[in-house]
Amino acid sequence: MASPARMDTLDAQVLIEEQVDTGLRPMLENYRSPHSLGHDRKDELNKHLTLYPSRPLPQFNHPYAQAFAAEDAHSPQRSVYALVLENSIPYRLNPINELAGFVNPHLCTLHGAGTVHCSHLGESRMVLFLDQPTGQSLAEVIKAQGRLHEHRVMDFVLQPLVRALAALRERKISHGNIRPEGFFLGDTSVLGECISAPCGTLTHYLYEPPERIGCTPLGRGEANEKTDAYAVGVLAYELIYGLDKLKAMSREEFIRLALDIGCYNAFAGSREFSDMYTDFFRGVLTDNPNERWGLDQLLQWLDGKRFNMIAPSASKEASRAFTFMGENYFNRRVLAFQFQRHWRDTAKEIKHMKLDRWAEMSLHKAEMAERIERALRIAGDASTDKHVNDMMTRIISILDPAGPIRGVSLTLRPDGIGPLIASFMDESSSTELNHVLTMIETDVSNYWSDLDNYNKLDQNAVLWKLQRVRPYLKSRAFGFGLERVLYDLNPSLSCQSPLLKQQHILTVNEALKALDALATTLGPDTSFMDRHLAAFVASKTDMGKEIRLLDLQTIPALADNPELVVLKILAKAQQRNERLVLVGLATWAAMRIEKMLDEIHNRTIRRQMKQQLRKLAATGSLNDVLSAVVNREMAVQDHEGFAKAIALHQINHSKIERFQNPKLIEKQANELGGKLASTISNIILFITAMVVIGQTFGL
Amino acid sequence: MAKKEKTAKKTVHAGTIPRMRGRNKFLLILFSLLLMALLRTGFLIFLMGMLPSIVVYFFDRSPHRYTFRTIFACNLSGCLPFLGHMLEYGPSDASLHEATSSALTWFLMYGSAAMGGLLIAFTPQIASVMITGLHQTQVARLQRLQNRIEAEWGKEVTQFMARADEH
Repeated sequence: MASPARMDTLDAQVLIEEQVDTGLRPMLENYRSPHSLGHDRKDELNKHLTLYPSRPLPQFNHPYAQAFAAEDAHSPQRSVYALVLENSIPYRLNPINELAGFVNPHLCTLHGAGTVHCSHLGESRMVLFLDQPTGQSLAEVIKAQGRLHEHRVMDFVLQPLVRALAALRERKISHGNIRPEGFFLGDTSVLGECISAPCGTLTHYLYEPPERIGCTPLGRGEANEKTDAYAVGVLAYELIYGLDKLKAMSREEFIRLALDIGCYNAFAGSREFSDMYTDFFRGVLTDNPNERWGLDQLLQWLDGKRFNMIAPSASKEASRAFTFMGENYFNRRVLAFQFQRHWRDTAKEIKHMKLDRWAEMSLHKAEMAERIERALRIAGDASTDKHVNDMMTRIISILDPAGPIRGVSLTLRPDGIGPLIASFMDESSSTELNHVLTMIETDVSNYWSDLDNYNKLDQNAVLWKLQRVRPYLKSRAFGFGLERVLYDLNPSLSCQSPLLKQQHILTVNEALKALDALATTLGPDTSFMDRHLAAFVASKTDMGKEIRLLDLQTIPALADNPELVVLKILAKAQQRNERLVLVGLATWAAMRIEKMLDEIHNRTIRRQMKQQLRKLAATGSLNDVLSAVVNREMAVQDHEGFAKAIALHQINHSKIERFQNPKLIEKQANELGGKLASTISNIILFITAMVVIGQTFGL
Repeated sequence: MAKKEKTAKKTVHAGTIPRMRGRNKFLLILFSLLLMALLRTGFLIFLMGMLPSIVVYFFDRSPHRYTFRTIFACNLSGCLPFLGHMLEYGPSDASLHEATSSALTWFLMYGSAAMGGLLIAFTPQIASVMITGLHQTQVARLQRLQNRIEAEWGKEVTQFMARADEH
């Protein structure tokens, strides 16, 4: 409680307290951030690369990037073009870093890549400055000339293409989007860039090997040299024989055919390949990724080595057919494919299909039968849709462990989960998003990876990440939840916060600097309560525990204030780089905190806290600004004082009510009146008695 | 338990409608016998003079019986001159006649009782004025304290009060 001496002035204080002049507003208005947003250098990167938004190059456009003419001032004689990438989908950051400045005669040179403020979009984007390929693309060649001769394919396509892939492999990069539109025949044959779109998103499905063909394009994940080798094979096939017949088939028909008789047989049909190409097609179009040719075999083959490959045969796995939807199946992979196509019907009947018995008796795979039986048993009788779908995914994976993970409406590989989440969040596709999240929750990826070792080693890193983010999904705290999963699984995704999305932010320091630069325009009315901002910073700083403001436990309105939690996350991030002074951001935060301080009950404490905010904001440290409010001693003092004040106020209130109660006054008056009357009458009696006694007895 | 409740009920009853205790009854009888012995026929006159007190005794059912006490004391004050006269001149017919035939004697007896009644009628009003004044001082002091609490802690302290009032 305030001292009695100060009490007298409190009535006056309460009037002026609400108008405490913290001086923060003029401080923010006059602030000029040393951190630029890059808006002063529009359409320019590293001072020598210039983008010309008025000169689009639609022939290089694709769903994930727009192409424009560009110029490299360091080498003005070279024809350069720029690819402006979408910022809601993760891009291939490692390959971009590896290929910057890398020169190879059969690869497009990447002159530079980085964040450029694009004047035509009014926002910053990742822009790639690449050598513009000369000559015709293979797609144009096919269109103009039809099929190419085997030798021409060998000399002008396969030789440079495989050499280019080998050069990429030296940098630990796979291409992932080999297609006729991405290979150019000019003075030298050049393989187009592979860094502007996620792997497998630009190719025709025929160019994808069986372990990826069924996947949703963004769910295919990273490519490897085996998948590139397969695509090289399909490209050669298209150039020599054409894909018209296979393209005429529907995707489902082709997948079923490829799973039934094998990819090699699906492509070859009854065709006899020339001696030159027999080994090649048998090597690269093999279903099993472990047996498929890699770049080493391709290079040896190009150097003239012959392998005497045996043609992959169509396997009839089961001794007896499994009847499903009136059709007999001998191949478990085709059965798995059909199960996914008829998901609902299968889910209804699968418990009565005796699939485990078929696996044991006809496929002679006791371990598979046991796994199927276990998956069926775990799902139980009264299962929810979620459980049934999980069971279905597991059973399909058991039947076709080499294939992708197949869900009710999605087919993907674990490293495709991140890009898919980004895409679904961007499109607000909640149903698909829920399916992906359920897959993370049920840990089906680990189950899938444990089933067989079909070239799944490259998934280990992402499997570990999925394991790590699983508990984050359940958390609703700021810095966690779905957004945290998004950033943890997509390290190259820029911050999707509405505050920062236009700035194309990739690191925590960039985020803090951008917020500092934006403080004068956004502060103080814009709240920091932003799940994307919190999750982005938490992900980049590898924050593992939820932020809890334990010092403010006694003031729930502050302890549970999400904006304060986000500020704490930002403060922690700033602490990692102590030299980062952010006066603008600190002032903006101080102004937000000033509003929160109204939760402090004691006007004197509140006023003192408000008055010190300016000094703290001037330090440019968010942690210092937060220390004004995250103060255990103050919180306890305020809480206990407030409780005492309420109690005292209540006691006084009841006393006042009692003193003003007319019935009580009347009762007390009657009693006091009676006592008074009685006393007066007794005095009269005493005096009279004395007088009478005196007279009677002559005293 | 039931016994305790019974006792409590009895106490409440005794508190609201007090009855004369045995010792008082004994003293009253002793005092009456003494007066009867001293006054003889005059005792009847004394009883007639104390009639207002006797009536009030039966009508005043309040716990402290201030009305009865006041009227009794005043009434007795009015009867004391008569008693003094009787004791001084003895309970002879002449002195008895002299005292009873005097209007002053009866005026004193009943007038003093009436004065007791007036005392009972007016003193609560005087007391009410005194108490109201005293309470207003207290309320003003408490209200100042309440204002200081609200200035220090804000109107939030009164919100709890409002909720309590609603309940």
